[in-house]
Amino acid sequence: MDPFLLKKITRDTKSQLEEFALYLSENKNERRSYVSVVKTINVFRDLICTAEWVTGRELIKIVKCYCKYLPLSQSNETDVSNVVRRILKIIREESVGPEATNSADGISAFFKTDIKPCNLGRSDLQDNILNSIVELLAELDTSKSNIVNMALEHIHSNERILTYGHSNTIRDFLLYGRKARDFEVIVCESGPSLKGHKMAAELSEGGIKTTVIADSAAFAIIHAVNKVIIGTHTIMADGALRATNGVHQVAMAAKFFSVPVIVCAPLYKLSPTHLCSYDPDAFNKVIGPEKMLNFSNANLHSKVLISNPDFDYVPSDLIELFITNTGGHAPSYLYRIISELYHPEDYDLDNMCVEDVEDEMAT
Amino acid sequence: MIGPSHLHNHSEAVVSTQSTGTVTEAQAPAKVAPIQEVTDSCGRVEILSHLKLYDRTIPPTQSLSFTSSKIHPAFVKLGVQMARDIVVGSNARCAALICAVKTFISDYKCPKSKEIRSHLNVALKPCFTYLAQCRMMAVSMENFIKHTKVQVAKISPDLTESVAKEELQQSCDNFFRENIYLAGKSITEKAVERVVDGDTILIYKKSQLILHILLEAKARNKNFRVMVVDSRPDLSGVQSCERLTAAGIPCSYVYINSCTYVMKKVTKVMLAADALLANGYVLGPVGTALIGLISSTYNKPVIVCCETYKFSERVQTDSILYNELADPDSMLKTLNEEDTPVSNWRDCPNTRLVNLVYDTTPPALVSIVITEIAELPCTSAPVVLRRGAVKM
Repeated sequence: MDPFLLKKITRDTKSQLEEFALYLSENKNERRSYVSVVKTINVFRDLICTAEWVTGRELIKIVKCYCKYLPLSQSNETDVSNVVRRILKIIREESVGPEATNSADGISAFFKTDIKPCNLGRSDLQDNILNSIVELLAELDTSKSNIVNMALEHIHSNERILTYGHSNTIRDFLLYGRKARDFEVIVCESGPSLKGHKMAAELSEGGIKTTVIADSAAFAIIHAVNKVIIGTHTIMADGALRATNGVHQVAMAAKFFSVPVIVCAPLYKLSPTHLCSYDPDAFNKVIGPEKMLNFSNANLHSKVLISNPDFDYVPSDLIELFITNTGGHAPSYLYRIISELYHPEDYDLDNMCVEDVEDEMAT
Repeated sequence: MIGPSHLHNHSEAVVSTQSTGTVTEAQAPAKVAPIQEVTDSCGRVEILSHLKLYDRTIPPTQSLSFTSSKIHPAFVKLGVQMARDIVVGSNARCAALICAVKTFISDYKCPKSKEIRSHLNVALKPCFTYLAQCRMMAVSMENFIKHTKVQVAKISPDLTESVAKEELQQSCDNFFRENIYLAGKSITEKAVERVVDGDTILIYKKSQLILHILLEAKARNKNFRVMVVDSRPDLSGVQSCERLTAAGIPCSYVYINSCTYVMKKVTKVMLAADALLANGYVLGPVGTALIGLISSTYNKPVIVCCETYKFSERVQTDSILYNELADPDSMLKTLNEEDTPVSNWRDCPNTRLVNLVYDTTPPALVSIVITEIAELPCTSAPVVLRRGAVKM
């Protein structure tokens, strides 16, 4: 580990951080993003309490140094990186002090990249930061229920809704809507993992008439559907999605027939990154094809290139509305939310700010 | 490639297993007990309730008796083969039907009081009804039946029974030869021109015609790759992969969900059609429309190959009005034989499974249709139909 970091943290914190890094690199596919987000906050809260720092800038440097050891560059970890960015923004805001944040309106605060030192000592600053983190935790706790409670504003009676694969948020959203409205749901089974089957079972247990169709039938059935409601893994900065494999073509079919596509996702999935390349390393993740082709077809495995990508890029022009815990937003408004949630210097977590680089060069 | 020898072999196979059934004197068209249809609303989707859904736990032959059935054993066997998906593919099903009709004609004895040209159609009717109840007829089969009816009605009353029967069998053979075998060859010639070195061609599932085109292109030493797109529940693309790799053509294989992921690397898309409708819509296996949409969004040419005998006078603008519902339980099949969470769907009143067979692709998403007479845009379908009507 970085000697600078080692100096600043206790041994317990170090082992806890290493455990967390291990946790992130295992169980990627089954992990729920909400659980990992809460875990992240707790780990960084401990780091803030126990590490050695005096000013806000030092703390930011420690946090960023630690992030280098987390597998955050993998496409699966955007929820963790987003929460780290939120924490960094909290630290920056508290370091600048209450007067500065209150007086500055949105636009000029966006352009302020330096941290003016303020007169708070470490204990006061730490208290303020920890209070803000508690508020952040409360916001995350209620994020799903905020989204779910908006169901009745978006579902009318006797509607036919198309959804894709499995999403806990969408399931709860639809089940909440069922309490007051009667509607039908068509679920695409989302091969080869067949997560749609699980979604259909859960929805029909909750009393919703559910139909399971194959993914290939999406175009055939979508003209008879009133809206498409989907969840996503990540929301990119321009309003595009990194969603389950197969969502792009459903969104394209919906656009062809002018069926609105609504995405429900909490704001910790909103990432200030853009699509730079479609390569598996940069954007997508290719998982094993054992669900696609039987091992009894082993003679084919060596001769045929089989691809099983996990994610899909959905451009923002195919999406009508985002329903987040702060309300409904058009894709064109997301840039504003990003400027409120994250600080520009944290968009790239590997980036050190100018003063830190000068410090490093001096030592 | 289905050739005349293939037809011969199939008819032999059909003949060998049945007795010398003769169609006895027919009364008024007999009522054949229908195959059990699922009529209760449980498990049915409202917008699809106009489509028949058959109860597949009961064998289609249960209602038939040995002694007084009006249905020739060749048709009984064919019906079961269709219902159990042993004979699949529009060309194969039509070829099998041609064999069964030829067998029927050779065993047919016209009653003394009737004329062959009016009676034969009446005798064939219950067989066709039975087939339609085993599995919905493909457009290729329907068009052959129309052709047969016209041929039977045109028989001159002066001919003896044996000569008339020979003529009819000859016309069946001609239908096969012209519309399936030679048409396939002609389409192959035209389509192979479109394959150039360095191409990556995307195909969907398994089609006898498209595979023939690709194998012929390989035989002419063209250097290309194939991207096979497959979808559940039947996963017939695996057979395409096997045929192509056996011929030495490099293949890739994806599910239809990943079609957008691979579309950038594709240069051409070749699709097969089950029918071409009179308003230019292409009826194909479900998923064809999605592939057409993605290809045209990424500006890849979509080439549809379709013989003219599959052109239909039907018009429709969406995929639900005319469709077929296949066995919903086949959607529960997973590769490692596991249960899925909806395996007990018959016990849950709220869960329904829908397994559509066809979908229609709008003409705007198709670049060209290659038929044996010409390479056409989709919208020329009614011109071809008119030409065919004039010829008849």
